[in-house]
Amino acid sequence: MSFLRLATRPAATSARAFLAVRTAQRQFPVARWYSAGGALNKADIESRVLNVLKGFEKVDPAKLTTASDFSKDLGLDSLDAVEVVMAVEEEFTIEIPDTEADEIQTVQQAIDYIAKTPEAQ
Amino acid sequence: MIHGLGTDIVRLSRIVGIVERRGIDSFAKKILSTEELPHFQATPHTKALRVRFLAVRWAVKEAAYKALYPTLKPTWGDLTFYPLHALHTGSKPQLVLRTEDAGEFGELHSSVSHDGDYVLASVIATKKPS
Repeated sequence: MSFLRLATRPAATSARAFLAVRTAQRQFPVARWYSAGGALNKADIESRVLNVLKGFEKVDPAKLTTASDFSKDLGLDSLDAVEVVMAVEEEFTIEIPDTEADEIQTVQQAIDYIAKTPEAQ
Repeated sequence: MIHGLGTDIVRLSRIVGIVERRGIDSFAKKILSTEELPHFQATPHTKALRVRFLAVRWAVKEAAYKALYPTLKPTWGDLTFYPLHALHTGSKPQLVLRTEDAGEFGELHSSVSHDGDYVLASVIATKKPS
């Protein structure tokens, strides 16, 4: 079974890259982050979330849009949905609480969650 | 009285896949309650046993979610599974719901079965007499 088309390696690499960036930026005054009013812009969030989804073997890139519903449009089941949440957490170096994660059923909901989460990197 | 019945089946290889991609400890932290986590950490460190441990919790909690739906939507941490003999020698496997909203619910009855690469779980949720 070839479930490893999943972009484990690129995801891991980018997570490491972000950690490196974060470490470097710790040397700057913290205020820089507050004044930025959320360091991520919506277009970046969108493309990074879409990239996370593209890493899933089951996901047909042709069907993937921000409006996609994990289950109805992308054919993901509950185990896949938990993995999507874990992959998004890795990508943005955050932890999404269960109650919130339960509400994330579409790509747009994942994007919106990241957009309202100031800790997202 | 019976509130609902839920069932879930999971293939062990799917759990193997997710723990290989996301890390076994991250996945364990995601789906286990604070009470289950130390038990998981104490399970013998063979991959097969650890994967089976997680697959059973996954299936039984998914089944519970279906049995309780839509009155209550438990999170992973709200449910703790005690396997055979866990509570005392000879004790039945038992699933316990611990959440503030659990008030109207009575016992959860659970049953787990294994065949090769598959784990099957069923849960009956009961309500306290009103």
